Amino acid sequence: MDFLGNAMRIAASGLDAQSRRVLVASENLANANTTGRVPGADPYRRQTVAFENVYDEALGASTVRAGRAGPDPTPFGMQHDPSHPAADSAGMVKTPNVNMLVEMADIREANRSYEANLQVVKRAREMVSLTIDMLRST
Amino acid sequence: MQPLQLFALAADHGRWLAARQAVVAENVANANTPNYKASDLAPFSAPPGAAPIGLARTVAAHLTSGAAAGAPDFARMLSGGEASHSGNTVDLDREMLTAGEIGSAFALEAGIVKAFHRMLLASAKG
Repeated sequence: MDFLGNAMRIAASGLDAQSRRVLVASENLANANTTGRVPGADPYRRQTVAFENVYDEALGASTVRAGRAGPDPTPFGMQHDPSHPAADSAGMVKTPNVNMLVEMADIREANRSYEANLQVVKRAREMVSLTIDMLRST
Repeated sequence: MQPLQLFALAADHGRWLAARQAVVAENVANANTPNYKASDLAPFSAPPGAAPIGLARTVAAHLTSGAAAGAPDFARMLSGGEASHSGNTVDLDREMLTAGEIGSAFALEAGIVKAFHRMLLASAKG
């Protein structure tokens, strides 16, 4: 059983999952001020990412997968702006339920996990090259 | 007296180290998965001199093992710290330290094998 190759493939799934997490966080950040266009319309709703452990039969090991968990059900914020196209009868505009600090902290943590997965790939690769080095005569 | 079987022992230990690295990879990849419990391999013990007694098969297709094809044959144990709010017990710092330990142990292993191989060649060539 190719343990070191598996280690690299598992770490690759981790890299992929963390990248997807950063992707969703950056989507949320980019749309942090996206409101509706018509009166009373809903603004951008925050998307979340769910991580799940997937047992890969071919590898015989658990890899991770990040799928979109769907929209965040937290209620929208309200802002008073009567001149806005999306203002309702009371002059209130619904604003997205995106908290920039939460997204930035999420990106930082994704960064740290990404680095950890990269280190695992490096270590596994070093071990493979040590094994191949044994073939060298000197 | 049993011969030392150095190369077989080194190969077994190397295989155990590689399997442990795969477990570390799993833990790190699942560092954010809810309810995931971190695991580690049971400490390495040199296999006994005699080969383990297994079932004899006359045809390869008979008597396949129940475990998934290629499942590692090393015992696992739970190794995580306290669970986070989501039930995850992976400690990234600990995993990185373990990966470092495994790397240096493997380097030592490879160095020893190389040295003994050289000795063997020297004695054979004369």
